[in-house]
Amino acid sequence: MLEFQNVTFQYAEDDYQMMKDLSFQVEEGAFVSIIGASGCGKSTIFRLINGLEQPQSGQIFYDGKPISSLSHFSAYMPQKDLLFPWRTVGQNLALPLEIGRVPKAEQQQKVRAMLKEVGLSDYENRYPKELSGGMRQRAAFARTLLTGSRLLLLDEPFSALDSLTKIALQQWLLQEWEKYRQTVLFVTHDVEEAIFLSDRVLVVYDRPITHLEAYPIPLPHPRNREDLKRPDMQELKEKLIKELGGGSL
Amino acid sequence: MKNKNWLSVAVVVGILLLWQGVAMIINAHYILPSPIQIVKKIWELKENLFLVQMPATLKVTVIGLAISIVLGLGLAVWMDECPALEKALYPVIVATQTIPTTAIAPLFVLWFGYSIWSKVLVTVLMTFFPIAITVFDGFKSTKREMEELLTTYGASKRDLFWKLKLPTALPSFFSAIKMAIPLSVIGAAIAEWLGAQEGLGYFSKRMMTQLDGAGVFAPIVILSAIAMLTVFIITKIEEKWITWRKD
Repeated sequence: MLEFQNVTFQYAEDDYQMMKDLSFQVEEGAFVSIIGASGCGKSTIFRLINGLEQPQSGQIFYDGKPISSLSHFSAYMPQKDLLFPWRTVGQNLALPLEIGRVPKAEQQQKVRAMLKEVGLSDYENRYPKELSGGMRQRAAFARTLLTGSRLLLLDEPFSALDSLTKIALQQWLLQEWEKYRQTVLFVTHDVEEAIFLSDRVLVVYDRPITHLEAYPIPLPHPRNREDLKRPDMQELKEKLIKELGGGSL
Repeated sequence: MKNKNWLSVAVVVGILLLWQGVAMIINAHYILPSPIQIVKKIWELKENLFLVQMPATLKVTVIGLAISIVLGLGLAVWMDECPALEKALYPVIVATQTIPTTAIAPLFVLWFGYSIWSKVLVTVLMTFFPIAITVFDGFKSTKREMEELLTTYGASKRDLFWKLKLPTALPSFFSAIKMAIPLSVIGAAIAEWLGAQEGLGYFSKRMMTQLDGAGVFAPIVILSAIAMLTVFIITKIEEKWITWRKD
């Protein structure tokens, strides 16, 4: 569904390359996590996919077509919820629909249905400042879903949350995904989160990024946190942490 | 909050009492009229002040402020859309703020005579630039991440402006208006001092030539009351409208 072919990229203000001849693929309906240390270029991969940056060479394909010929095929959810403070939760969710010129009545219907889906029906007319961190993140996720894209790019969506909310939202995200089976690319630096959520973990090692090491996660769905205690999962977790340079200073 | 209000009332009352005391000791109303003398004067001249002079000044203020808002907003939007224009104009705009209005206003009287436009021009000159710059800075405070998010949704330049930049700049717009109102009143009064046939500023100057201290102060008191009242109203509108700001 998504394919990077020999992509090379460097930010104009940097004197080093972010990625060089990078190739990888993501299949339709897969949940794939990308992990790596902070500042390793994980988010840059997203910026290339959603067109905020252009590769110097190489190409990115979506459904076999170069992405330069497509427009908003992916839905991007950044680390911060970025809910617009002057819009109510309902109005925030309507943003991608407004920009897509969806008729008003249909907007309202879709927003209501989505609010129900993410359990925020009672908050349609509240402002973001009245919501807790977890609720804001759910609202931001709902807004991302309303773009209607089949490819979701989630950039460390839970990293700013406290650990209990984080666990609850991971479980919730997994349920949502098991229901809709969109293709999800999930950037994180949390190894456990990556293992729990994904079918496949891609690890970023070096800079420039020349390849992504792939680790399949053989856990069945639906999953629960107990699965993480399996010895092979524990082993994988330790291995990944070690390979990412963890455990040493 | 209530405590703070009381404190400021107490300070104002204290200053008035002190003023009254000093004025009574000096006992020369053409040098320092007492607050009571000023209030008496306002009452004595109430018909002339409120029905003739005040409407004349208000007319200048309102027309000047309206022109400034339209021009200021227009320039702010334009500079935001076109960075080359910003580079070219921003320093010039800042430089014009250093021109002393009292020095340039007589020139406008030469150009436009005693008509309303010489006074409107002074008012515009004083208020246009603060509005343009404050609102422009408001546009600039737009979060880049939010802009990028909308871009990934496929937003056009128009969408970005109406859905993101304008709401971001709204608090700055209110600040600009609150700043511009007192300036526009001062601008109108200064222009009237320098050349006019009616208005509160003109009246104050006429009383000066008659060495009527209380008469000089009376229109000034009315001018600042107008400015304070209008700013108060705008603040209330702002509170009603911008409810989403974080506490």
